[in-house]
Amino acid sequence: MELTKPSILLLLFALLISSNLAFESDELIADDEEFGLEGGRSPQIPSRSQSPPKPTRKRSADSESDSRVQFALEHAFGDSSEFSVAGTFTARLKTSAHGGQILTKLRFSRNDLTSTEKDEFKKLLENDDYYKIRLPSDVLNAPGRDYVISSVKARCLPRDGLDEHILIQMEGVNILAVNYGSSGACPYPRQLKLPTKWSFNSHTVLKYSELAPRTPIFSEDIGVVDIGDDEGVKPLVERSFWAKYWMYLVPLGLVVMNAVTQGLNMPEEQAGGQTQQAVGAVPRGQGPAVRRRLRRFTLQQSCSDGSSPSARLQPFFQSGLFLRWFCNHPVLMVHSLNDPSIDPSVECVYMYFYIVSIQTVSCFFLNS
Amino acid sequence: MAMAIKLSLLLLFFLASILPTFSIFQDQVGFMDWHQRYIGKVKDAVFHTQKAGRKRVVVSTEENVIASLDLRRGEIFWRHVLGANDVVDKIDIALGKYVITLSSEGSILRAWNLPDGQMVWESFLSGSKSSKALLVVPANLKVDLDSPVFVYSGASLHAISNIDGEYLWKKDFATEGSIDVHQLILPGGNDVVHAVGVTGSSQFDTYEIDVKNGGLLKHTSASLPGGVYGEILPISGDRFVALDASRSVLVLLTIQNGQVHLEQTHVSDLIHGSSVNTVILPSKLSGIFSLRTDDCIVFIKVTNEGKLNVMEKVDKMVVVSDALSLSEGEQAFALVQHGDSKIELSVRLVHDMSSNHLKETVKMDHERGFVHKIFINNYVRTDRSHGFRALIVMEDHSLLLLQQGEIVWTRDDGLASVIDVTTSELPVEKIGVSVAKVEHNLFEWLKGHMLKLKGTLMLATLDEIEAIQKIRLQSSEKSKMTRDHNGFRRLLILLTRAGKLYALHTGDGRIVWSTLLQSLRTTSQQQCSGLKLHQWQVPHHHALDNNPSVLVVGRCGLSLTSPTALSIVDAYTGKELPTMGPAQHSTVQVIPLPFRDSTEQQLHLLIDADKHAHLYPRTPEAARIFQREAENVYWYSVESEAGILRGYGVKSTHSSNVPDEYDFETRNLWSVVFPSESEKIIATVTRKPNEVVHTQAKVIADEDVMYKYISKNMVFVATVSPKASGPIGSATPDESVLVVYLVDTVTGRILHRMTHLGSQGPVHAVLSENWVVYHYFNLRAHRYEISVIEIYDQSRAENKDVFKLIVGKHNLTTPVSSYSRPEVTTKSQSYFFTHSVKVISVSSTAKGITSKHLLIGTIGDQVLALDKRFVDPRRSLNPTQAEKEEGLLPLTDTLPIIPQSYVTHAFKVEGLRGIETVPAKLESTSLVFAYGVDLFYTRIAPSRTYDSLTEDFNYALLLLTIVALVVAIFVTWVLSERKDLQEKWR
Repeated sequence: MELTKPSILLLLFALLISSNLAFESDELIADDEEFGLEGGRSPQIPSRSQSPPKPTRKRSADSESDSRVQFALEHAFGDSSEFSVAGTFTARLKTSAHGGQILTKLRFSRNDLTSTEKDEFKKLLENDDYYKIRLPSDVLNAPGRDYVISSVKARCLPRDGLDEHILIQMEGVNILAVNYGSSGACPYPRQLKLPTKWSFNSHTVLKYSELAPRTPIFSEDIGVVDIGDDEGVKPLVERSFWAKYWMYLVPLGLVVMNAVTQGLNMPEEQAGGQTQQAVGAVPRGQGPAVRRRLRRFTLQQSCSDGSSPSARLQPFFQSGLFLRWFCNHPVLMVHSLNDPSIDPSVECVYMYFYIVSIQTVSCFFLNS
Repeated sequence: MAMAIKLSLLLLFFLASILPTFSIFQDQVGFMDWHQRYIGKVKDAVFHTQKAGRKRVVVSTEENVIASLDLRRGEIFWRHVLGANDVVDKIDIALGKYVITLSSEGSILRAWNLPDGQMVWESFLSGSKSSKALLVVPANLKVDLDSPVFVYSGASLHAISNIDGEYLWKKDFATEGSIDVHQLILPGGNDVVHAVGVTGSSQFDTYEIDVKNGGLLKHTSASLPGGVYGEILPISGDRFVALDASRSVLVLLTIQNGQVHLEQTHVSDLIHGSSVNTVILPSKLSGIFSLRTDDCIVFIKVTNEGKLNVMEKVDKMVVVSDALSLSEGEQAFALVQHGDSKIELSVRLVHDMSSNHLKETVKMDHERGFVHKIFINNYVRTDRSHGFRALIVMEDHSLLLLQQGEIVWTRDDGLASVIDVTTSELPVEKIGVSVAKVEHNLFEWLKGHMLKLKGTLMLATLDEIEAIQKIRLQSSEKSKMTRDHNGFRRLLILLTRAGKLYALHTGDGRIVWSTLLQSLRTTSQQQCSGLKLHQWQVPHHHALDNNPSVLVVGRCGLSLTSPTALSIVDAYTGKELPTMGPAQHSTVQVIPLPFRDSTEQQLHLLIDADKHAHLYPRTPEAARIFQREAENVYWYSVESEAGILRGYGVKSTHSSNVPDEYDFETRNLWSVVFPSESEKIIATVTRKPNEVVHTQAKVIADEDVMYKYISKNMVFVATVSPKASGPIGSATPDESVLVVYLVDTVTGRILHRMTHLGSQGPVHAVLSENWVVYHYFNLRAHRYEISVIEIYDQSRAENKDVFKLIVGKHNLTTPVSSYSRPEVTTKSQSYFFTHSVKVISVSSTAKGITSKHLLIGTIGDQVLALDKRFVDPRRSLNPTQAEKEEGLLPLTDTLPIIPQSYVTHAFKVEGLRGIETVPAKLESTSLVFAYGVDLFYTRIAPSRTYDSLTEDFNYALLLLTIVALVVAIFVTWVLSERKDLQEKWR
């Protein structure tokens, strides 16, 4: 069983399509072929399911003939040139039960660039100028009120050929806007690059508006969800041990860490003392003083020179880096768990200062 | 052991500082906020001085305010702000105790109790068609009579009872032909009311109507062959004067025995010289009328024989008041003449025009401009003679009371009509304080500290506590004229409708300076008004010696193609800098560019009506900077009427038809055409240009990262179906559709588009960071809703791996281009919101770390702060543990309104029009300025002041801790010394 996930999905998709095709009449299949999409991406048509099921061949043939719509894509090179026809869109007009009309099955055929157009395009590429396109705002009686214009820096288009991506925003039979551009990224310092192939590789997508999500309407009992601002009785949720006692645990941990370092330093010190005793040459009274000085030195080191693990973190603590890391780390913000009225971004700043000062204080006390 | 104690002490100290402070306490009011009450430019004033008690004047203003002012101090006794559509037409005082107001084109008549401003009654008057609104309140009728108030509105005459507003009778003039009533006259002692008007512009009509029942007693009419310009003015009981349509002939109408006699006099015969713009001034002076010609004002007396005699000519800038009857048959009126930095007030008696009854010269600040209106009132002096006081309205909309040759009080009511707001830093504090000043204040300073100490030790008496409060409020710290560390002290620079610029100190709201902009002054040729206020020069690095300055852009004329008025004003002194003259081109859009020249002047692009771009400042250096960046300058225009959004860029090549190097041709790059039959633009909102975003990533519950789509070039557009563009209720839910768009303004790309079925405007929105919050009405749910859209960048979503980030395999530092195809996802959610909203704004902080509060100006003219987390689109009904940790709130259908979160606490910002937020230097704090008829300023800390100690920080505990620590150190030191000694002795 070498079936990977994508292939399963593909299979499922194919099944879905085939079942769809099986459902539709054969006439429609022919239709699909005829109005097959060039761009490869299917237009997002919300009311596709509203189409009357299984129309008879005769009727649909009639309606098809008068419901086919054509409109032209016009382009211009830079400011000086006039718009000229660059290609034709063909689409089918569907009338829904409510009388609303939408376009489906958009098909685009682009004319080949003439040699003068190629030259002009080259000029655009050299000047990093705009390549403009326009569409009528009303597809039924073009150009409608005004043309819908879009333009792109010409240098964004060349890949191998000329890649274009046309997203047409529709509202009924009106074109609201057309988003024209390359299909990928076009980072700012645009490099001059001539296409190897002077033909357009077009992707076209039709897009209709999507509906806003409904406002949730709750029944009364759910409506009284506690939002942390009314002083009504809040359910007492048992907080975790860490959430409750972090403010004691953190200093304790730091103190322990520092003490451990101190403890690690102690044996060395003892050893030093013993050697001193063994040598015996050193006067007795000086021993403890030296020891103390030594101890003080090691401790100081442990907190400032980074021999203790917590002290090693000191510069990290003090830099804003810690604050940022800390504030963006939700796991650490345990204490604000059950109190949504407290702003986590504030709490973490408090916590940060708390930990840093505890660290400083514990170092100070161990030193003295 | 000692350490444990110290630690616990420290813990205590930290815990004390964590205590939440959401809202303010009663004694904190006025500590960092201030509230100023204004009324606007006075339109009409009625004095009420009959009783010896509190003397007051009742005024109506252009901001639709009715207010009762104290005549002695100018304070507001009471005030009512009627709605924006409820324009006050007339006011008067009835029965000596009611203020009667007629508003909304004469359709609403209200009576207010004079002493306290309570509404006594209200009547709605319906008329068949719209017409002039006239109000007559009988003055001499006996009080025991149920004396009616007469209102002419909606082409009918109404009589309404004075006592309770009851409808007595109505006489419809619409049936009498299309008469346009100009005057209502109530001759004293008679039981008739006269309505005088013009029918079809060429017939003069008077109607006598019975006061008791509205019956028509008499109707006289006469044809006016020359037509009428303006209004018919009554001279005396049976004489009227009018100007014919050509404005060159005066027509005197006399009614005798039911017959109308016409007498025509050429204006040129009276004043010797031609005049084109002749007007009869509406001042009612008995037996006399005044005529304003092109170069003077003429007082003309009408003799008993019907002759016109020119009595006097005065300068045309003179302002004339209405006549005031002093005693039987005696009338007086006032004239104000404007001189150089002074005004001359003269009061004359109508029957004796030859000499001034009273002449006073008052010094006047020339920043107040000319006198626009005058209202006079008389009083009886101690020597039983007549004294006069005059209320004058100045060009800057301020209100002054003159009496005995002095200005008794002034009110800066221009501040009621703020158009635009910007802020300016204060000067840096100079080192070295004068010793004398310190010594002078030393005693005060000591006293203050003693008082404070007493207060801290709870020994202060009530009076002393009050004094402490006062000291706290007046603490020089907050109203100093220097920059402070936290950035709380600033100058708020306000542009008002009168063309005056005010600088207010944020500490206490006092006016630091004010300038009547000469370049925006309305002259007889053109009417100028301010439009926008922009930061012009903000000295930062190079030009620290220069003062900051602001740019005022205005327009001289009413149409969009009128020429522009430009002015640069020094923000510290208020002086207009002479560097910029008036511009020849028009201005429809001002674009502050993100470039500065070497003197830190901000480059601005002004777009005129022909879509040409004009660069300011006009220096070669600025042109050089702009030429370099012109390639990347884009802007857009919204044509609301046509329903088209257009994007533009600057043409790179110079063409010959552009006059100089600072003007640029533009080219249309994109357009979005909304179908006119289904969509109409009702709101467009952009991000604030100076907004700072701290992080582009958002960590969500399952330790996942989402990248915000942060683009400065994003505009939010809301459209509704044309049927639903009217008020709520004018369209059914099925016909009203609200569509919202997020559009990239560089490419015209629609990033997101969403339809709200059954919803309609008005839409109020705010766009910030990567989210937009908007408010609209849901017709199906019969409630207002607030929706949120958050937009995230998917192209950066891959950058989650820390390892990748360390190695540098991420695209976070690559420049973002609008020409790349954006991969965005959006999240949205809608919530019900109880209030209707006037304006929405959002808090802004210096670095953008602090969480945001939405500032919602409610219909009740208050400002509500709503945490942005309440309008998070990711709220779900049962948030998981991880989501709770993140601070996500459980989903509710309604947004909560927490009473404590009203920023304006007890105050109302009447007529709220805008909320401006300015970041302070302190990250946690944002300065909020709300303006309308009133002004309100405060600072807010959306996440509380986590970066500074609160005002009520327990310094005593801190001191105690330090002392304890020092003692502990000494004790341990002594102990260790002793131990050392012992060890040495061992």
